[in-house]
Amino acid sequence: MGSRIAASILSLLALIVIWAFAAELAASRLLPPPTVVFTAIVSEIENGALLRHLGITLLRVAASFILAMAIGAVVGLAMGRVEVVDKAFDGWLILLLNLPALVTIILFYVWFGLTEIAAICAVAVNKIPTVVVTVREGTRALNPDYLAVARVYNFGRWRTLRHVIAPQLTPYLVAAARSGLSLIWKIVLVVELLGRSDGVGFQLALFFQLFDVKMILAYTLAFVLVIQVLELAIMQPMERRASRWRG
Amino acid sequence: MSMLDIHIDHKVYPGANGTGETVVFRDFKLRAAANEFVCLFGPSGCGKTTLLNIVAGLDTDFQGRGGISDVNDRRQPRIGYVFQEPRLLPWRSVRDNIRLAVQNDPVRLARIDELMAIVGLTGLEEAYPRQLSAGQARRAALARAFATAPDLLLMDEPFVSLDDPAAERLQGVLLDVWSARPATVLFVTHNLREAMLLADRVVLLRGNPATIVADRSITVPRNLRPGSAELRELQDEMDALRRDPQDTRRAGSGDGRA
Repeated sequence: MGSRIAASILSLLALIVIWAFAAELAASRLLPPPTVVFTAIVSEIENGALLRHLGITLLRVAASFILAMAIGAVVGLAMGRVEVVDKAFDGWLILLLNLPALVTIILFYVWFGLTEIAAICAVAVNKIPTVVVTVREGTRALNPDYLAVARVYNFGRWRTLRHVIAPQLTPYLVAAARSGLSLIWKIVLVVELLGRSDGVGFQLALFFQLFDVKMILAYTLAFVLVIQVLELAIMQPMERRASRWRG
Repeated sequence: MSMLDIHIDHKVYPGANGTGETVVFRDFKLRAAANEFVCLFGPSGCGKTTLLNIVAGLDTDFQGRGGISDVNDRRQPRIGYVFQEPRLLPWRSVRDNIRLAVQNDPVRLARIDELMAIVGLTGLEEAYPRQLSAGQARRAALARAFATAPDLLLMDEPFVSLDDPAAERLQGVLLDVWSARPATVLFVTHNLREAMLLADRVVLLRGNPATIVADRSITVPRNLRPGSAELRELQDEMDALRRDPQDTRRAGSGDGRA
């Protein structure tokens, strides 16, 4: 574990060295060296803009993520357990899976206006189908032996869900959550670029118009860093906690 | 009073790829009196586990009546089912596995630790099933079934794969718990000696569809059973019935498919 972290740090450092070298060679405003970008990050933190936009973007990520996971899990469970539901919605699912994110975003903005709700829902709708597919697969893989135990001992619906079904779905939910986070934060930027007046995506659009590569890199690096910290600090401990019993 | 009245008109297993089906039960009847300990005995594939699943309400794909007539009018009869494998939820501790079966009855919840001590699991309350030996897992499954204070106890070869001393000890535990709080028991076994030691009645099943080849009550008191000549005789007789079917034609068409 320790040596793997050391290796990643080393390889990232190598990337920064290569970047510095390339910037030196190019000597252009369009490829600023790392030092300039880091200075820009610090100054944006100091004047408060970076944290404000980052915070707003993260709130949108969180809202869309929770919405997508909740709806996706319920629908996936229903489709996995009830054949009629599966047949009824399988076609919709295929359609949604193949719908480009951009189309959903445009349609939601057109239909519901350039609002916060439309933005968050557009992102969630892009993620829901993959959550449904993953959870449905997990539901189909439920061990009937344990469900029989729940029936014989009269667990009832709620306790069966909590003690028999949920633990078996956990690996699938974790997989959906991880791929979900990485998909959602990318789509949130597009949503912000197209129809919001704050957030990292909005800032990137602004700096794109100014051809300000230094600031684009500054915001991007800060954002990627925060997402990586979320992954390490929340997602991975959650996954370990859920699989304690495997011992 | 609790009592079992099974009448299965028709139960089939679909064949692989739709190629013919196996009739497991046709017009099959079995009754058990309240608090009677019935051992079901017979070759593999003659439908013993299917019968337990039908009685437990897990298998509803049959024609007929599965069984438990009402204990009394006030509540659903409670079932304890010791499956062929322990089937403990691997992501819950041993105590939680038992607690989940007990629901919220304070009296039965309070008895969990006592039951775990009786079956010899003291100190393993917080262990996860993966950490248990095969024998310990079987004992936990037993404790779970007892903990529900069942009206009907279904047991599907609960002591199989245990060594003889362990099996004998658990047979003793089963009889102790059952005498302290009687229930109707359907006990499936391949071990005729075990059936002789435990049961009030031994039922021998054979063939597809399953027929009852022998149905004998055992009146010898349980404490006199080990080494009893009368039981020795009965055991030999049933052993012969199992091996040497009087009706070779039916056995030939039945056992081959098992």
